[in-house]
Amino acid sequence: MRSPQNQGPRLRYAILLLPLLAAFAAAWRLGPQAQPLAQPTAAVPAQPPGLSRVEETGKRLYVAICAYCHGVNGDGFGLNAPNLAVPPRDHTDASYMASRTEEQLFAVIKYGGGAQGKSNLMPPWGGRLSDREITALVAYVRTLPGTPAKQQNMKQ
Amino acid sequence: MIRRWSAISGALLLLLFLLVVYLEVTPNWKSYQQRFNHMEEAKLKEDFRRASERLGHPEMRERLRALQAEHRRLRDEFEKPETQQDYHEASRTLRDLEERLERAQANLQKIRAEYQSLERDFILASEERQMAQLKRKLEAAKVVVAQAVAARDGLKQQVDAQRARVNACTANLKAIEQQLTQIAAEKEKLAADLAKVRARKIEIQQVSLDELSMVDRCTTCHVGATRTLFRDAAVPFRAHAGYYLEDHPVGKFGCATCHGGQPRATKMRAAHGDVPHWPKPLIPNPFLGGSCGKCHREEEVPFEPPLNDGRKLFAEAGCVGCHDAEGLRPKEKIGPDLSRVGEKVQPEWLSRWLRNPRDYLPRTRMPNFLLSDEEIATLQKFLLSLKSQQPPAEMVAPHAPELIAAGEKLFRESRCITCHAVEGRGGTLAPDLSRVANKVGPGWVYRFLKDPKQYFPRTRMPRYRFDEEQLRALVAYLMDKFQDSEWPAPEKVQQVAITEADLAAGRILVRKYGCYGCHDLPGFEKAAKVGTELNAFADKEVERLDFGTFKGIPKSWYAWTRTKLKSPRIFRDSLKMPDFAFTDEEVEVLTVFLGSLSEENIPPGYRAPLKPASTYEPEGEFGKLVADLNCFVCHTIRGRGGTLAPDLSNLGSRVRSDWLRAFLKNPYSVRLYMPERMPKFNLTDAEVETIVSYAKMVLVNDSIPEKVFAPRELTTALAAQGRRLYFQKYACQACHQIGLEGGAIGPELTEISKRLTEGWLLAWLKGSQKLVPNVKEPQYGMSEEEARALAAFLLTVKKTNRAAGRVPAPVAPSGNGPS
Repeated sequence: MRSPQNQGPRLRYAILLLPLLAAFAAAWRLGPQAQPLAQPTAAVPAQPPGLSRVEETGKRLYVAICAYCHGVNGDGFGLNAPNLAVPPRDHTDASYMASRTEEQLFAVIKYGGGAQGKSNLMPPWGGRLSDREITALVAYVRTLPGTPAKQQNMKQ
Repeated sequence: MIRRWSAISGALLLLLFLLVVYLEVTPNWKSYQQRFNHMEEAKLKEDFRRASERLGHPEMRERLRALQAEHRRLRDEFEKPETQQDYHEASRTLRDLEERLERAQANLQKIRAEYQSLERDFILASEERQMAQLKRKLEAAKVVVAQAVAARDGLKQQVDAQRARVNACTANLKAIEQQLTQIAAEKEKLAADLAKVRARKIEIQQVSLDELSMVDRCTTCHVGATRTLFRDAAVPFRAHAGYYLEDHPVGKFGCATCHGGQPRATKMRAAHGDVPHWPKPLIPNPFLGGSCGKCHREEEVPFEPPLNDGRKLFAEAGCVGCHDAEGLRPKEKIGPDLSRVGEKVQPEWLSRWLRNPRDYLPRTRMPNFLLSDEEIATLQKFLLSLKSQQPPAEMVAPHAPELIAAGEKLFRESRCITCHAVEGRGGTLAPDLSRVANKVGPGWVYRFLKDPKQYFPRTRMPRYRFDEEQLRALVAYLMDKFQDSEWPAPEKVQQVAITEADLAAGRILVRKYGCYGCHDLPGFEKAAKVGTELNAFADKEVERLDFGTFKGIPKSWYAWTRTKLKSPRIFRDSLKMPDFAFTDEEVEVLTVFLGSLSEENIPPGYRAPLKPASTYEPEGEFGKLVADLNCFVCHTIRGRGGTLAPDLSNLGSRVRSDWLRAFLKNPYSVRLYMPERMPKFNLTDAEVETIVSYAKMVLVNDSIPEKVFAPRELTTALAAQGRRLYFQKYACQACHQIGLEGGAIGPELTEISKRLTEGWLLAWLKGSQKLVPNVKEPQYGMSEEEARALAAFLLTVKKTNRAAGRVPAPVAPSGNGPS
């Protein structure tokens, strides 16, 4: 049994065991590392560029209600704007809009301009629109600065 | 030999071991949970640290200490015997002083009465000396009272100040103590949360939904979805977007009900249904709206514009003509009645129309059936054979310029473009008239205008009460104005020979393409729809979709559906579906809607209730008028009808009889921006009276009285109060005009007292949404008093001088305003 011929394979088994141990040690140290899931690779389109469902809802409300004064493009040149003593806000003005927080935008829609120290020509919409609808409006208004609509408008 | 086997088994063991190691190291549900717990723990720790910092912040501590010291000092001072003595003494003095003051005031009253009676006597007798004496006494008494009042007030102030100082300090102290308690409680909660997270076991999360016969394990990996902790983290740690879970808790709905996939599986590919033979792979985000439609089958689903658009388009494009789809109310056929089309159209026009309908009308709903020349010839002959017994009285359009001019005026006055477009501008309710003279002859136009229902019983065209002269003028105008030299000339009508064989061949074609799905055709009243039924289209496995010879797209339901909608015959040449020329957006929204056509077993408790369809049918003379004028095309009454014009359900409570009478005789728009759309039907006095009396008897809301103000109640003072509300508090001028001032979104209000009843106006101001549910106007929640004042102002508002010069507003509501 202990003949020199037998020593060769034993050594080989030992060598075979080494990577096993190494792998075990590595697994012990590394542990499972979770990674965020990639989107499934099935042949489906990714979210199309453009508005999310909430933003799209906001856009429809905006066009139906806000656009009379703030304009369809949100630039403050709505049909009714010339009749107002205080010009409606230009929602495509990136620097002004950047200075407003989400809460401020929400409040001015819900409680009206008067309650926020601005013109009371902006009515309170809280009775007409639900909080979710106002949230959707805020989300849409956020997409207005720098939209292609504005650039087109400026060219005209 | 043995050695070789040992080597092989050793190698196998190694491979197995490596596989196990690999599986442990790659992401799996355990690692997601661990990672999420680490994230949450880190966040809680951070919050905890911040709370502790705030609690132990030196500034906070310092402030508290200072306040406590001040409080102690003040209380000690206040409780010192001498202060207490002072305080009690002051209080006692105050009480005495108050008693003295009372006596002095009584005395003053007495002297004043005496003086007044003497003053009266003084005019009669003249006891000057006594008067002077009394006056002095009076002055003296006044001084005594004033002094007493001053002394009382001074002392009171002193006592109050003493009390206030202590009270203020107590209040401050309480506030800061409360703040500290709050932070401490917060901290405690954070610690508890942290302990909970640490104690959380890594285990499969499972929801059993017995009613849906489903087990859902999605939250095993999507650990963040149901927790609002990380809104911007990556999937699967991110919180579910929007408000969906508030209304559809995972405990009741699971995840796969809306998202698809294989909810029992815990490995990513399998769970996402991305494995062979799993019928419902994960629904891609842009098409998720289809899942909403499985339960919300009829109404507009909030926040799902694509689904709503898709459902609407499915009905409007006439898909239901060929395809059955449950949940869609049976609509009448969208195309015109063809039972007598042979009387109506020009043969040459017909063949060009059949070749490509959009060539004649770019916006037509008629799809292109891509017919061969032979098919076109056959169908043309078949359609031309469809005539009634008596051929239409032929008539040559007179070319007299004055007649054409009169016709043009009438065309405008009758507001034909409310429904008909001309060169792309105008309504979409009826066909574009741009080239109508190339399509139909003057004889047919004359007869149709005279009585539309005689030719086409289901037509939406109202019967205008035109007299002979007006009819001739309109025909002359239409035939002169709306012709295109590139199309067959109206005068040149050639005859086409038709044989029995043509008719038989035509019938076969009609049956093949299912023309009767959209058009009334004699002999096909009971024919079955030609298209595949779509009731369970969303459930269709990809293996059951016929990709035919087309190889350009991936094998998925979405790719197939979108390609089919875009190019209906791309999969096989023998397919029959016509080309609708849908835009990319239309294809997207239709795909979303088609994704809702599922026959999955959805328990009744999950389905949104359906509103029963209105069966309102106006009776009597009014009913006949409504049918004749097709009022329901634009107006809704009791839930039935269109939305282009105001709802008339409460017309009688809303407007005054005189105004309604004048309006029906000569309709106008009360909104400055609205085009004048209500046609002038040339109603007789008796017809107007029928409408007015039906409105006042039947179309009423019993809770709204005609009058709400007594004659003396509309005072100037009340109106002035209302005026302030109008211009200042509620800024109504942003949208409404009085005279020429104000915005032009809402109706003009100068003559509102002539238009609206008092009751309606008051009810409107108190909450217009209760009267017209989708009204655009903001809801202010005015009190009864405010609404009455504002109503009083609006009812008494007079034209200002500036406004007086203005032409009486021929104006108009449409939409939802107070009209």
